[in-house]
Amino acid sequence: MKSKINFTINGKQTSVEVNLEMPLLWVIRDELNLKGTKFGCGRAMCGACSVHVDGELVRSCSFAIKRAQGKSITTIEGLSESEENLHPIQQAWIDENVLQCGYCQTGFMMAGAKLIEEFSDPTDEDIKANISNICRCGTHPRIISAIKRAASLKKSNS
Amino acid sequence: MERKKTKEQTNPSRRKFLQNVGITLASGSFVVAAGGCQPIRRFIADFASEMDLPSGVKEWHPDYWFEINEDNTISMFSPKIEMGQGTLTGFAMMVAEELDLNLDMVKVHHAETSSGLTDGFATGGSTSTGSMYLPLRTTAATLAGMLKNAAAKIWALESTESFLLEDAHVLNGTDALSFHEINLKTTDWEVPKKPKLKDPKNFKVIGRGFRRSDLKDKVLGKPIYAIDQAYPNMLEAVVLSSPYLESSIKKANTSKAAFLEDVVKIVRTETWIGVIAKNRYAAEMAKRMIEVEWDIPKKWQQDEVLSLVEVGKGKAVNIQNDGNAKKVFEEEEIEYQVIERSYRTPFGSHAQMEPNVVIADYTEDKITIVTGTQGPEIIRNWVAKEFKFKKDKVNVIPTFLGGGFGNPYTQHSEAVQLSKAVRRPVKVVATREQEFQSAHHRPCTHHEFKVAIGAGKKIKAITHNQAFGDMVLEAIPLVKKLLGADFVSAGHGARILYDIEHRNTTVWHNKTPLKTSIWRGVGCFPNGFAVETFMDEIAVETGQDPFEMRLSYLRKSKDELHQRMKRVLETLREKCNWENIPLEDKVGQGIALFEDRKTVVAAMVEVVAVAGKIKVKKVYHVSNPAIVVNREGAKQQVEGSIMMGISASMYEKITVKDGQIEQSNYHQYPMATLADCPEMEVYLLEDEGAKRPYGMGEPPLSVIAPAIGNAIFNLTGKRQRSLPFELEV
Repeated sequence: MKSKINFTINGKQTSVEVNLEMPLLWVIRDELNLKGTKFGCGRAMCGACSVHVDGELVRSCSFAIKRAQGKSITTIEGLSESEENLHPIQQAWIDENVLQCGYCQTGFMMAGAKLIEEFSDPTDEDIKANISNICRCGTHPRIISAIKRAASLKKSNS
Repeated sequence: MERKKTKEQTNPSRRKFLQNVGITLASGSFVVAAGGCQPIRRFIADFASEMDLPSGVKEWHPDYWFEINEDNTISMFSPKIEMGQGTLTGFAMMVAEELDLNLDMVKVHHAETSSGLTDGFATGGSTSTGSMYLPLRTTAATLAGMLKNAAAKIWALESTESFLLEDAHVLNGTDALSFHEINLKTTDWEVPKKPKLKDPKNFKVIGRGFRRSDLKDKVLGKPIYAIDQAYPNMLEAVVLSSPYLESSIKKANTSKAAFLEDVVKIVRTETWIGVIAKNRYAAEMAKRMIEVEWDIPKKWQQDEVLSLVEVGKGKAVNIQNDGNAKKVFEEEEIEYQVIERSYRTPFGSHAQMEPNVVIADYTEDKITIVTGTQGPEIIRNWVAKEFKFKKDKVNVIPTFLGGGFGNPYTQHSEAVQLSKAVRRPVKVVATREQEFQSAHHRPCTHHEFKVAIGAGKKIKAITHNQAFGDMVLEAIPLVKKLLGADFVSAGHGARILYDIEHRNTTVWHNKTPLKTSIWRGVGCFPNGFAVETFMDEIAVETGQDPFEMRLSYLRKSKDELHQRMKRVLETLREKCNWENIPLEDKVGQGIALFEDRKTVVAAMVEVVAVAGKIKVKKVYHVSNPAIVVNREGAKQQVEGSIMMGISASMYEKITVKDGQIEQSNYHQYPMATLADCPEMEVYLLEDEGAKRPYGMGEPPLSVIAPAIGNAIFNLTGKRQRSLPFELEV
């Protein structure tokens, strides 16, 4: 049975008519055609599907769309103001040449963006203890450097 | 994406052109020779032992390869796939170098199989950069010559001698013509007889460090992977495949699933059931409602599987016989110190982040496939054969891959059958459970070593017997037919490279019920672990310094490889300041040295115990691939290898229970995360006067497991002879 759900995505009001149990991930990818959020494991373990729901970090593969009613969702496509004016985390990812295959990286950037909201000056240990996403290419050392750089970019921007 | 065929493609003078540019079509002769057995056997033997792998590319005309765009950028169509290893960036650098372009002016795209530009041997084996280095530069230099010749015609000048290339223009001192203008004004291209390659002394691009060309698209989350592609009228599908080894469907009830909203069709075969629906969620939900009983001929257990892979079982192939090791061990007159050890590595999962995705569109007269794969042409050939289409009626369009690592798992057959059933494009996305339980895995290995140590602690003879499950063979049946043993994989690293008088290596292979295939570091991962752990054991047993002992089997040799190994090891010793490391009880050190595909690598690892568990604290890593094309790219490959090595040696293991692979998702297959990330010092060496680079995708991985294991022994006194390591202290 399909029902209508209203929410905001990347600042835009939207509504979809889907099965209420459908994971937010597939709504984002297939109903709204935003492909930056990835499917990795389907069990909220790898973090490739990470998005922000009302500012909270959420693994969207295991978040039923009914829970998004009236909420505000941000995906990687909505993180930056524009492709020229990037969010500090995306800018830091470029500066540090972080990624390889890139598949898990939007999830890492969403997690990193949340982390620098909470830690204005994160240490390696803060990052290691708070992000459990999986990356197979082994970009870990650059992810840590980039999150620290993003935090300082954020400070100098504000 | 369709490109117009140019006149040049059918022009018979092309053969002459190929001779002119001096490219011997090794892969062309490979095709010609495929009818007979001997040349290909030799080809594969070369591939295995020397790794001077031809690129597998059959066409080298600049007209095929490059397009000059209106904005003067150059589009290049790559036969090799970008799966994160940075190959496309390296290619762009080579082209930019020969055409004196800024790197951002070269746009590299994946070639479709219908273009004739793809490669029959797939992307892998750490060969892309090395095998394309000279041919690609030559082709780009040929294009540079063609542009200069054409400009000369436009200016009505005789000689192109003084012409320069700058910013996508040809300059003659007074006038300038852009590449695009030349392209518009030229119909009759003159190909230079001898394209002039740049002298490495004048390189402006190659050898420096550049950020990846795909960086921004990936940072913005652009839809570049197979899973992101969508076509009009496309349906989504999920396949239910057996989680049991060697099983098929006995009974299935799909009636509940078929009536679920948005489900379009259910297709049943002997071994799998496909659910086609209007969206992925409905397909997945319907799949869960199928009641199925599997026909499981044998419920395999872990011990039974492991017992198949043991030295002495299956077929044996001797791959090294220097001197007469057997005689040394039988010698009665001299008393040697004999040490025997055995080691094991487990089955492992690729666990790449993007599950396999295949989009198939079956019509009366052609099949189109969009997929992330390391072997688009292999899939094209399989599909043509299975569905009885001519090869030119099947087009495989490769996308960026969300990680490869050698995983050959693909659902192309399922996707085409499902598309055929509904006559619409169908996208099949694998579940993570299928990736763990139905895909191919890295085979497990068993190693037995014996060494005879004589006067002055000198190793007189060494033997290595190694047993594998079938590997490359499973994925490429042709290779199996021709070689009958796991030659390709075993050729890498099973042989003892140290300068020891008597050396003997034999590889045993046997079939296992698990589907096994290539995994990053084909043979160098298990062999690196086994050989270099054994070397450490010898050093400890004989009371020698691990650096000094290894160097003593390299120093006196004139062999080029031994000299390169010596240089890498000495560099490592200096960089990690070995002589001045304080003797601390709390930090363990271990080293390893290895060669794979002519790239020499060494690492020194420091481990500590944190809250009763071993952790890698720091890794010093030195690699010598002869030439470094992109320093940034090469460094990323080393960092990735360090993390994958930590993951594979400390956590990963695929096991079998009651006929099933026990690990169904990441929660049962722990991998390294940010918390495991050590400090890293990465050094890259080059060889003066080297002609071409060697691979960096896999060789750096070979030393991680043994260096960690040796460091754990150094810290705890507990020798680590099987993976994953015991981490409790």
